Amino acid sequence: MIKKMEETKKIIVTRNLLEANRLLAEKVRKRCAEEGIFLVNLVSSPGSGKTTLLERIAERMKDEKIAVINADIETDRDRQRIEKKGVKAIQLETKGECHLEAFVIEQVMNELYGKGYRYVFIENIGNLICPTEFDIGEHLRVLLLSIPEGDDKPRKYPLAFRTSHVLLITKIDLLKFLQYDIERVEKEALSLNPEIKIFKISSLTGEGIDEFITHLKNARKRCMS
Amino acid sequence: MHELSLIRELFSIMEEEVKKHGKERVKRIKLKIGEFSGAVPEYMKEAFQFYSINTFAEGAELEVEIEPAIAVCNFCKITFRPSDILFLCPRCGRSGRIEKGTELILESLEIV
Repeated sequence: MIKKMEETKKIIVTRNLLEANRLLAEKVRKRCAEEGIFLVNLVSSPGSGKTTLLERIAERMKDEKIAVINADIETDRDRQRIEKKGVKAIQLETKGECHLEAFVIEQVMNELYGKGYRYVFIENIGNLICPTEFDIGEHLRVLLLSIPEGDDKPRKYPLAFRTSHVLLITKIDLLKFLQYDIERVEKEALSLNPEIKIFKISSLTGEGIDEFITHLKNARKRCMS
Repeated sequence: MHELSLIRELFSIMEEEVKKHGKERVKRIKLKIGEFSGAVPEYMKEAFQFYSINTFAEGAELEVEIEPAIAVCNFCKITFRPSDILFLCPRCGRSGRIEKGTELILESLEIV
Protein backbone atom coordinates (compact mmCIF):
# COMPACT_ATOMS: atom_id res chain seq x y z
CA MET A 1 0.00 0.00 0.00
CA ILE A 2 1.32 3.39 -0.94
CA LYS A 3 0.68 6.04 1.61
CA LYS A 4 0.96 9.64 0.69
CA MET A 5 3.75 11.11 2.72
CA GLU A 6 2.85 14.30 4.45
CA GLU A 7 5.55 16.43 5.88
CA THR A 8 4.86 16.77 9.58
CA LYS A 9 6.32 19.73 11.34
CA LYS A 10 6.64 19.96 15.08
CA ILE A 11 6.47 23.44 16.49
CA ILE A 12 7.07 24.59 20.04
CA VAL A 13 4.36 27.05 21.02
CA THR A 14 4.44 27.55 24.82
CA ARG A 15 1.43 29.84 25.08
CA ASN A 16 -0.95 30.12 28.00
CA LEU A 17 -4.58 29.35 27.22
CA LEU A 18 -5.68 32.16 29.53
CA GLU A 19 -3.22 34.67 28.06
CA ALA A 20 -5.77 36.38 25.80
CA ASN A 21 -8.23 36.73 28.68
CA ARG A 22 -5.55 38.10 30.98
CA LEU A 23 -4.41 40.72 28.48
CA LEU A 24 -7.98 41.86 27.86
CA ALA A 25 -8.63 41.97 31.61
CA GLU A 26 -5.56 44.21 32.08
CA LYS A 27 -6.82 46.48 29.31
CA VAL A 28 -10.26 46.78 30.93
CA ARG A 29 -8.72 47.45 34.37
CA LYS A 30 -6.46 50.19 33.02
CA ARG A 31 -9.18 51.88 30.96
CA CYS A 32 -11.60 51.85 33.90
CA ALA A 33 -9.00 53.44 36.18
CA GLU A 34 -8.37 56.14 33.58
CA GLU A 35 -12.12 56.81 33.43
CA GLY A 36 -12.35 56.98 37.22
CA ILE A 37 -14.45 53.81 37.30
CA PHE A 38 -13.87 51.40 40.18
CA LEU A 39 -14.83 47.97 38.86
CA VAL A 40 -16.21 45.48 41.37
CA ASN A 41 -16.85 41.81 40.58
CA LEU A 42 -19.39 40.09 42.84
CA VAL A 43 -19.06 36.31 42.86
CA SER A 44 -21.08 33.74 44.81
CA SER A 45 -23.46 30.82 44.64
CA PRO A 46 -26.99 31.48 43.36
CA GLY A 47 -29.23 32.96 46.04
CA SER A 48 -26.52 34.28 48.34
CA GLY A 49 -27.85 37.84 48.09
CA LYS A 50 -25.88 39.63 45.35
CA THR A 51 -28.87 41.48 43.89
CA THR A 52 -30.35 42.39 47.26
CA LEU A 53 -26.98 43.75 48.38
CA LEU A 54 -26.83 45.85 45.20
CA GLU A 55 -30.28 47.24 45.99
CA ARG A 56 -29.01 48.34 49.41
CA ILE A 57 -25.87 49.82 47.82
CA ALA A 58 -28.03 51.71 45.31
CA GLU A 59 -30.05 53.21 48.18
CA ARG A 60 -27.01 54.15 50.23
CA MET A 61 -24.72 55.43 47.49
CA LYS A 62 -27.15 57.92 45.91
CA ASP A 63 -24.45 60.59 45.99
CA GLU A 64 -22.13 58.44 43.85
CA LYS A 65 -22.75 57.69 40.19
CA ILE A 66 -22.99 53.91 39.95
CA ALA A 67 -23.99 51.33 37.35
CA VAL A 68 -24.63 47.61 37.53
CA ILE A 69 -24.01 44.81 35.06
CA ASN A 70 -26.18 41.78 35.88
CA ALA A 71 -25.18 38.44 34.39
CA ASP A 72 -27.52 35.49 34.35
CA ILE A 73 -28.03 32.47 32.18
CA GLU A 74 -31.63 33.56 31.51
CA THR A 75 -34.06 36.45 32.25
CA ASP A 76 -33.65 40.15 33.00
CA ARG A 77 -35.23 39.95 36.45
CA ASP A 78 -32.15 41.34 38.18
CA ARG A 79 -31.89 44.34 35.86
CA GLN A 80 -35.51 45.21 36.61
CA ARG A 81 -34.86 45.10 40.34
CA ILE A 82 -31.84 47.41 40.07
CA GLU A 83 -33.55 49.86 37.71
CA LYS A 84 -36.39 50.28 40.22
CA LYS A 85 -33.76 51.84 42.48
CA GLY A 86 -33.01 54.45 39.83
CA VAL A 87 -29.64 52.97 38.90
CA LYS A 88 -28.41 52.25 35.40
CA ALA A 89 -28.38 48.47 34.88
CA ILE A 90 -27.37 46.30 31.96
CA GLN A 91 -28.48 42.69 31.77
CA LEU A 92 -26.26 40.08 30.17
CA GLU A 93 -27.97 36.81 29.34
CA THR A 94 -25.27 34.25 28.75
CA LYS A 95 -27.59 31.47 27.50
CA GLY A 96 -25.83 28.65 29.26
CA GLU A 97 -22.30 30.01 29.72
CA CYS A 98 -21.39 29.43 33.36
CA HIS A 99 -19.06 32.41 33.85
CA LEU A 100 -18.07 35.80 32.46
CA GLU A 101 -14.84 36.44 30.58
CA ALA A 102 -12.93 39.65 29.97
CA PHE A 103 -14.00 39.99 26.33
CA VAL A 104 -17.67 40.23 27.40
CA ILE A 105 -16.88 42.99 29.90
CA GLU A 106 -14.70 44.82 27.39
CA GLN A 107 -17.67 45.01 25.02
CA VAL A 108 -20.31 45.96 27.55
CA MET A 109 -18.13 48.62 29.23
CA ASN A 110 -18.23 50.62 25.98
CA GLU A 111 -21.78 51.57 26.97
CA LEU A 112 -20.55 52.98 30.28
CA TYR A 113 -17.32 54.80 29.45
CA GLY A 114 -17.32 58.57 29.27
CA LYS A 115 -20.46 59.04 31.35
CA GLY A 116 -18.94 59.87 34.70
CA TYR A 117 -19.61 56.58 36.46
CA ARG A 118 -17.50 56.13 39.59
CA TYR A 119 -18.43 52.56 40.46
CA VAL A 120 -19.52 49.70 38.21
CA PHE A 121 -20.67 46.53 39.95
CA ILE A 122 -20.63 43.31 37.97
CA GLU A 123 -22.99 40.69 39.31
CA ASN A 124 -21.30 37.55 38.02
CA ILE A 125 -23.22 34.37 37.28
CA GLY A 126 -24.21 32.49 40.44
CA ASN A 127 -21.56 29.77 40.57
CA LEU A 128 -18.73 29.37 43.04
CA ILE A 129 -16.37 27.60 40.64
CA CYS A 130 -15.95 28.83 37.06
CA PRO A 131 -16.27 32.62 37.61
CA THR A 132 -13.35 32.46 40.02
CA GLU A 133 -11.05 31.15 37.26
CA PHE A 134 -11.48 34.23 35.07
CA ASP A 135 -10.07 37.69 35.66
CA ILE A 136 -12.57 40.06 34.04
CA GLY A 137 -10.62 43.24 34.67
CA GLU A 138 -12.06 44.05 38.09
CA HIS A 139 -10.25 46.16 40.68
CA LEU A 140 -11.96 44.36 43.54
CA ARG A 141 -13.34 40.84 43.75
CA VAL A 142 -16.01 40.45 46.39
CA LEU A 143 -17.11 36.97 47.41
CA LEU A 144 -20.50 36.51 49.08
CA LEU A 145 -21.20 33.48 51.25
CA SER A 146 -24.62 33.33 52.88
CA ILE A 147 -25.32 31.72 56.25
CA PRO A 148 -27.77 29.09 54.84
CA GLU A 149 -25.02 27.75 52.56
CA GLY A 150 -23.27 26.23 55.56
CA ASP A 151 -20.04 26.85 57.44
CA ASP A 152 -17.98 24.20 55.61
CA LYS A 153 -17.60 26.05 52.32
CA PRO A 154 -14.17 27.75 52.34
CA ARG A 155 -12.20 24.53 52.02
CA LYS A 156 -14.64 23.12 49.47
CA TYR A 157 -14.20 26.10 47.13
CA PRO A 158 -10.65 27.26 47.90
CA LEU A 159 -10.07 29.18 44.67
CA ALA A 160 -13.05 31.45 45.35
CA PHE A 161 -11.52 32.42 48.70
CA ARG A 162 -7.95 32.66 47.40
CA THR A 163 -8.79 34.99 44.52
CA SER A 164 -11.15 37.37 46.36
CA HIS A 165 -10.19 40.58 48.16
CA VAL A 166 -13.31 40.74 50.30
CA LEU A 167 -15.54 38.10 51.87
CA LEU A 168 -19.06 39.13 52.79
CA ILE A 169 -20.81 36.69 55.10
CA THR A 170 -24.39 37.54 54.15
CA LYS A 171 -27.82 36.98 55.73
CA ILE A 172 -26.19 37.33 59.14
CA ASP A 173 -29.70 37.91 60.56
CA LEU A 174 -30.34 34.15 60.08
CA LEU A 175 -27.48 33.21 62.37
CA LYS A 176 -29.78 32.87 65.38
CA PHE A 177 -31.94 30.27 63.60
CA LEU A 178 -29.24 27.97 62.26
CA GLN A 179 -26.36 25.92 63.56
CA TYR A 180 -23.46 27.81 62.10
CA ASP A 181 -19.90 28.20 63.28
CA ILE A 182 -18.97 31.64 62.00
CA GLU A 183 -15.51 31.53 63.57
CA ARG A 184 -14.77 28.38 61.58
CA VAL A 185 -15.64 30.19 58.34
CA GLU A 186 -13.47 33.18 59.21
CA LYS A 187 -10.56 30.99 60.26
CA GLU A 188 -10.71 28.77 57.19
CA ALA A 189 -11.11 31.74 54.86
CA LEU A 190 -8.07 33.44 56.40
CA SER A 191 -6.04 30.24 56.23
CA LEU A 192 -6.68 30.14 52.47
CA ASN A 193 -6.13 33.86 52.00
CA PRO A 194 -4.50 35.80 54.86
CA GLU A 195 -5.22 39.10 53.04
CA ILE A 196 -8.99 38.65 52.67
CA LYS A 197 -11.09 41.33 54.40
CA ILE A 198 -14.21 39.92 56.06
CA PHE A 199 -17.51 41.72 56.71
CA LYS A 200 -20.65 40.25 58.24
CA ILE A 201 -23.70 41.80 56.68
CA SER A 202 -27.47 41.61 56.45
CA SER A 203 -29.27 43.27 53.57
CA LEU A 204 -32.48 42.83 55.55
CA THR A 205 -31.47 44.64 58.75
CA GLY A 206 -28.71 46.73 57.19
CA GLU A 207 -26.04 45.38 59.55
CA GLY A 208 -22.52 45.80 58.19
CA ILE A 209 -23.53 47.45 54.91
CA ASP A 210 -22.17 50.89 55.78
CA GLU A 211 -18.85 49.39 56.87
CA PHE A 212 -18.59 47.58 53.54
CA ILE A 213 -19.43 50.76 51.61
CA THR A 214 -16.72 52.65 53.53
CA HIS A 215 -14.29 49.90 52.54
CA LEU A 216 -15.36 50.25 48.89
CA LYS A 217 -14.81 54.00 48.95
CA ASN A 218 -11.36 53.64 50.51
CA ALA A 219 -10.42 50.93 48.04
CA ARG A 220 -11.50 53.19 45.17
CA LYS A 221 -9.42 56.04 46.56
CA ARG A 222 -6.35 53.80 46.82
CA CYS A 223 -6.93 52.47 43.31
CA MET A 224 -7.24 55.93 41.74
CA SER A 225 -4.26 57.50 43.51
CA MET B 1 -17.66 23.37 32.42
CA HIS B 2 -15.25 26.17 31.74
CA GLU B 3 -13.08 23.60 29.92
CA LEU B 4 -15.00 24.46 26.76
CA SER B 5 -13.83 28.09 27.03
CA LEU B 6 -10.25 26.87 27.37
CA ILE B 7 -10.64 24.67 24.29
CA ARG B 8 -12.07 27.62 22.36
CA GLU B 9 -8.96 29.59 23.30
CA LEU B 10 -6.76 26.63 22.32
CA PHE B 11 -8.37 26.66 18.87
CA SER B 12 -7.78 30.34 18.39
CA ILE B 13 -4.07 29.94 19.25
CA MET B 14 -3.76 26.83 17.04
CA GLU B 15 -5.39 28.60 14.12
CA GLU B 16 -2.85 31.41 14.37
CA GLU B 17 0.08 28.99 14.59
CA VAL B 18 -1.09 26.83 11.66
CA LYS B 19 -1.51 29.90 9.46
CA LYS B 20 1.82 31.34 10.54
CA HIS B 21 3.59 28.15 9.43
CA GLY B 22 1.66 27.83 6.17
CA LYS B 23 0.13 24.49 7.12
CA GLU B 24 -3.42 23.17 7.10
CA ARG B 25 -4.04 20.58 9.74
CA VAL B 26 -3.11 19.75 13.31
CA LYS B 27 -2.17 16.13 13.99
CA ARG B 28 -0.94 16.24 17.55
CA ILE B 29 -1.28 18.66 20.45
CA LYS B 30 0.62 18.72 23.67
CA LEU B 31 -0.86 20.58 26.62
CA LYS B 32 0.74 21.09 29.98
CA ILE B 33 -1.85 21.45 32.73
CA GLY B 34 -0.99 22.34 36.29
CA GLU B 35 -2.13 19.92 38.95
CA PHE B 36 -4.21 22.74 40.50
CA SER B 37 -5.15 24.62 37.33
CA GLY B 38 -8.84 23.88 37.87
CA ALA B 39 -9.09 22.14 34.48
CA VAL B 40 -9.91 18.44 34.44
CA PRO B 41 -7.90 16.54 31.78
CA GLU B 42 -10.78 14.16 30.94
CA TYR B 43 -13.17 17.09 30.44
CA MET B 44 -10.56 18.87 28.35
CA LYS B 45 -10.34 15.83 26.10
CA GLU B 46 -14.11 15.53 25.82
CA ALA B 47 -14.51 19.23 25.11
CA PHE B 48 -11.74 18.98 22.51
CA GLN B 49 -13.43 16.05 20.73
CA PHE B 50 -16.71 17.89 20.60
CA TYR B 51 -15.18 21.19 19.47
CA SER B 52 -12.88 19.70 16.83
CA ILE B 53 -15.59 18.11 14.66
CA ASN B 54 -15.33 19.44 11.09
CA THR B 55 -12.32 21.57 11.92
CA PHE B 56 -8.63 21.57 10.98
CA ALA B 57 -7.91 19.61 14.16
CA GLU B 58 -10.49 16.84 13.82
CA GLY B 59 -8.91 13.51 14.72
CA ALA B 60 -5.82 15.10 16.24
CA GLU B 61 -4.25 13.43 19.23
CA LEU B 62 -4.45 15.52 22.39
CA GLU B 63 -1.76 14.74 24.91
CA VAL B 64 -2.15 16.23 28.37
CA GLU B 65 0.82 16.35 30.68
CA ILE B 66 0.17 17.17 34.33
CA GLU B 67 2.58 19.65 35.87
CA PRO B 68 3.06 18.80 39.56
CA ALA B 69 2.41 21.60 42.00
CA ILE B 70 5.02 23.34 44.10
CA ALA B 71 4.11 25.67 46.96
CA VAL B 72 6.02 28.01 49.25
CA CYS B 73 5.02 28.59 52.86
CA ASN B 74 3.96 32.22 53.52
CA PHE B 75 5.52 32.05 56.96
CA CYS B 76 8.57 29.78 57.11
CA LYS B 77 9.29 30.14 53.37
CA ILE B 78 10.09 26.48 52.70
CA THR B 79 9.21 24.95 49.34
CA PHE B 80 7.03 21.86 49.39
CA ARG B 81 4.81 19.58 47.32
CA PRO B 82 1.26 20.37 48.47
CA SER B 83 -0.89 17.32 49.15
CA ASP B 84 -4.15 19.13 48.42
CA ILE B 85 -5.45 22.49 47.31
CA LEU B 86 -5.17 23.99 50.79
CA PHE B 87 -1.36 24.28 50.36
CA LEU B 88 -0.73 23.76 54.07
CA CYS B 89 2.92 23.87 55.04
CA PRO B 90 4.18 20.47 56.22
CA ARG B 91 6.44 22.16 58.77
CA CYS B 92 4.29 24.84 60.44
CA GLY B 93 0.83 23.83 59.18
CA ARG B 94 0.02 27.33 58.03
CA SER B 95 -1.01 28.53 54.59
CA GLY B 96 1.33 28.53 51.61
CA ARG B 97 1.02 29.99 48.15
CA ILE B 98 1.32 28.11 44.93
CA GLU B 99 4.44 28.72 42.83
CA LYS B 100 3.89 26.14 40.13
CA GLY B 101 0.93 23.99 39.15
CA THR B 102 -1.78 26.37 37.95
CA GLU B 103 -0.60 26.73 34.37
CA LEU B 104 -2.59 25.88 31.24
CA ILE B 105 -0.01 25.84 28.48
CA LEU B 106 -0.09 24.81 24.86
CA GLU B 107 3.42 23.35 24.64
CA SER B 108 3.72 22.10 21.09
CA LEU B 109 1.89 21.14 17.93
CA GLU B 110 2.50 18.76 15.09
CA ILE B 111 1.11 20.25 11.93
CA VAL B 112 0.88 19.11 8.33
